[in-house]
Amino acid sequence: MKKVKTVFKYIFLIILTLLFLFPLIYMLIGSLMPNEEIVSMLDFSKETYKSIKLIPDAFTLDQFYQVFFRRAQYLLKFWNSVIITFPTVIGQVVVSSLAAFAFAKLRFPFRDKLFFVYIVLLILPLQVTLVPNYIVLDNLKLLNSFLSVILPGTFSAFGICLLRQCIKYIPDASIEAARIDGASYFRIFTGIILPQIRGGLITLTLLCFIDSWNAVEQPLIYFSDRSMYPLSIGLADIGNSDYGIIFACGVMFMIPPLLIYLYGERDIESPFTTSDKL
Amino acid sequence: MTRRKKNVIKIAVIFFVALGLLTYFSDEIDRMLLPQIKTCEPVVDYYNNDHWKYYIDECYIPKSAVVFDDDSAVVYAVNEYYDGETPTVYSIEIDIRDSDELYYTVEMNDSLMSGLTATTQLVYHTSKPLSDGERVFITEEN
Repeated sequence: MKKVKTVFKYIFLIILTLLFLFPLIYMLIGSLMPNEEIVSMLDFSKETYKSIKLIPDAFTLDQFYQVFFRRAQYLLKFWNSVIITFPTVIGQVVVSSLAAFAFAKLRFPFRDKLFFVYIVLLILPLQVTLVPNYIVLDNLKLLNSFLSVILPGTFSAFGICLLRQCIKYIPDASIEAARIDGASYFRIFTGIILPQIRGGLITLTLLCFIDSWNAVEQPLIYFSDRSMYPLSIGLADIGNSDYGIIFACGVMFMIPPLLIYLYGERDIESPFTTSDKL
Repeated sequence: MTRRKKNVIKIAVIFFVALGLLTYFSDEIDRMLLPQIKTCEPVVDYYNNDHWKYYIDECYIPKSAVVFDDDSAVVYAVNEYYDGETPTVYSIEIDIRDSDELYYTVEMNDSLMSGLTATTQLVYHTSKPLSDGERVFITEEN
């Protein structure tokens, strides 16, 4: 009976895994198909698939050849994504870790009330803050520049809440001992706090990277110059490009988040494993 | 740092450097991969008559400019002034009347009349087969 249960469990998990992996597999296969073969699978009149082939009739690297050598606009969009994402991630990690340390270990007036405001900000969906952000950025003359997406992403409440949960469980005794020895708060932060929240930092880096890398709404609204659009918008513009090239761009687009995940896979900590009653 | 992490960093560096180089040299790479063409002006024969002052009757096209496709003959032309963009070729169907060693005598039909303008150059040499609307790189103009 236990064996049967185990078998069913594994079958269920395998089916679920295949369901989740199917779009990724289809994208990889589609990037190796000629464009004509991809189009032959589609029924444009009913906007559905006539058939789905997972084994192409003819393998070709022409799509990658087009993306890497002949159509530089996709490479430029990739670098736009890099320009938007990397400063946002670095900024958010630095700002969030410092702010989380203050909220978790330092005592100042209205600390808990201010943190409650950050929790409320977490609950607000992005779309609610788009218009107020637009007005602020317009007044700061930052519209149509990369800073219009980088700055709001850098000062995000999510990272502060995540890292506060990690820092909260570091014993106060170690901080007090360091204070007695004459260490400054910055020295305590870099010498005691940062090494112990490494998992949280990597988790924040990965989540922030994925969020910024896939950003579509903010660049669409804050950039009027189409040459500044990141590749996430280029991929969404599927109607104006060859399908095979979109698949190849998708593969290229997938590589940086995959590398970051592979780098930090072992160190990722779930924020839910150390829960706190607020 | 574990060996796995070092490998991931190596792959990431190679990936970004390769993409950076491909992006930086994208114009040069694209130019090298475009068909390299040589162009010339068509020689147009015209005569006066009482009704029309300039009537274009025949055109002389180098034999190397003509491409035979199944039953038809086409020439590829490119506009001399392309406003800084990469020039593109377009095909014109022709009717061959006569030929000598170097040239075909071609009837000035409707497609040729509309295809040839004062700034049109004919392609007489190409490094790769051409297709309608393809971007090209002009190496020599005559």
